[in-house]
Amino acid sequence: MGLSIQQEKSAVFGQIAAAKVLIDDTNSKINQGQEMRESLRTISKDPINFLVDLVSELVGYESLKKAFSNILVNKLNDIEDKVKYAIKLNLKSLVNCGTNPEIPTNLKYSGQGYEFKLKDVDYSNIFKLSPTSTYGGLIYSDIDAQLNSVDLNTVLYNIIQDKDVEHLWGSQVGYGDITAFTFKPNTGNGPNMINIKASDNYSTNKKLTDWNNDYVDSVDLFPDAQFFGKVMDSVFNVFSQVIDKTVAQANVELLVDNAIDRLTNTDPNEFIDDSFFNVSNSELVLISEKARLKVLGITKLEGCYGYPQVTKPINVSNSMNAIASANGKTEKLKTVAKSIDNMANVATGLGNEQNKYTIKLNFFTELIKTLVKTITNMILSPKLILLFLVNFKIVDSTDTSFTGVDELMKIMKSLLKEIIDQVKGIVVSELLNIAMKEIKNMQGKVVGKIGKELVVNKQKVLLSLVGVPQDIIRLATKF
Amino acid sequence: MGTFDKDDLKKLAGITTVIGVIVAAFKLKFNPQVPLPPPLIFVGAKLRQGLSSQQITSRIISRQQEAGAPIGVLPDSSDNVAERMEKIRVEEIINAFLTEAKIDVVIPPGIPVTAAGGGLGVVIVQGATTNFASGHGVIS
Repeated sequence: MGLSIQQEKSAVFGQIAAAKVLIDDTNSKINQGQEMRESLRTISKDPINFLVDLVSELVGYESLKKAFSNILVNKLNDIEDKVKYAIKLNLKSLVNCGTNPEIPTNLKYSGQGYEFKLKDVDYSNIFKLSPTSTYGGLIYSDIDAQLNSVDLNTVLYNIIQDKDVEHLWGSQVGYGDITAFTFKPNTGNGPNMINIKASDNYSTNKKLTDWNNDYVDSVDLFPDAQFFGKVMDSVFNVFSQVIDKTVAQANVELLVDNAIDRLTNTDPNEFIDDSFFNVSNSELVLISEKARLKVLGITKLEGCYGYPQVTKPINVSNSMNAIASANGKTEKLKTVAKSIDNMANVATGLGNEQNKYTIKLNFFTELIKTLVKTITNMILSPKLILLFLVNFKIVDSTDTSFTGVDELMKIMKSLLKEIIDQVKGIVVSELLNIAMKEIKNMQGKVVGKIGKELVVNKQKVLLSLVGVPQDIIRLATKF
Repeated sequence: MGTFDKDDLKKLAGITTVIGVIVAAFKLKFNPQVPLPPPLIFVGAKLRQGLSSQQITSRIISRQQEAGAPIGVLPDSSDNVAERMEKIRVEEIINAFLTEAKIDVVIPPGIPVTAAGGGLGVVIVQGATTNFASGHGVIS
């Protein structure tokens, strides 16, 4: 029977420790990182956690900052392409499998459209934050354009301020009109509803897959500044300071995070069924405790001795503005790196000199670890949830009402797993690239040392065989 | 690193693949050493003094400082147990080498042979060995 994953991970760290001893005769750096790595303490199957530990052991935490900056500046487009491809493929197989791929009469422009509760579409309550408010930029982009914005969430916010009026989406981003939205406010005790239908461009000669694909292509999933903001929210719970949330809502968000974490911790070919999303009582207790901190906008970073930490939204907002206005990749990389440093300094503000290193390391570590969660959370924003809900309503012949985002996650489990695996792959390739460069560099030195030793050993044997005394041999082979 | 397609990325999402890639990077390959000249071993081996645990121990203790380990009596005036332990360790290892170690020697086929023999007249034969031959030795 082979080694367990935990043993294999330990063996890799053992190889590194051995290589470091071989390379460094002075022992000066050997004692760094003696603390047992988190990825070795757990039986996690997530390669990102393991690689984060490996890279920080090999190169140090600064490399994690570089990896994060590179992913944000150079890899987001690739991630967006792969995510969009996965969404299109999954929606196509979903609607081709169970129903007629024609656009259903109700979804056509001449039809009634599909209606969904606003609270189901916006489970994290972002529409409680106005794009034009002080911190609107944390979530929305292209704010001033309002209904003409290229950010569908900005457009949707403005649509729900304009009750019972139909607005079209698509031309804002250079496509023809794709979708018509109408906000229908509550009447009496009923909930606020949002109505969605395909635009008149899809009334003839267009299939449902055409509409789905055009919808997906029209949406900008990961604007870089908003992506940065969302990562900081994942680490510091910043959005809760600017969006009024109840503990119950924070609880739902954390349940979603919990499900994403579990999916991240699966192997690529692992089978997932609905029971996978069941949460134990002990997990629920932990989530409730976190939810209480989340609504207060508080987080606890490891290394702060459990001190609650509050990061002001203005810090995140300033960094986002700088990233959004940076031109060219080189300037963007510099700006992101500087922004991370600023946030790290904010994070270490509470610590004394002794634990600042640990806090900074944990902050950079969290940045990478939270990438998959952040990307998945951004997919679960109103602009895409609406599309998912439409498709699942088409497939769901029983027409049962949708009960919430946790149900959506179960329905979307294959899609989410595919997306998470692709994103994991991209993050892993970035970290593995750094690790492999350093390992190759290290191995080059080890090979040099061993090669030199083998030559010296042979000299020693030869000298000893011709009768040269031991002390002289030692002296002679030092040169 | 090159570019990855979606199948590559899916594989990279698995911990087993990642560990496999890293473990492969640690594998080192060296060319086999050229054997020592046999006549030199034949002559030189006779000149060696043999193993001494006392000498090895003293060399190790004299180099302890290279690893940052204290030499001699400790600052609190207590005995340096690590040094005593080193002596015991080396003695035991050397004792095992001297009394338990066994060296097996294999001589491959194809060794040139010149032999003389015969009944009425001497016959000189030249050839090569055709079988493996083995021998034993001890460490001293």
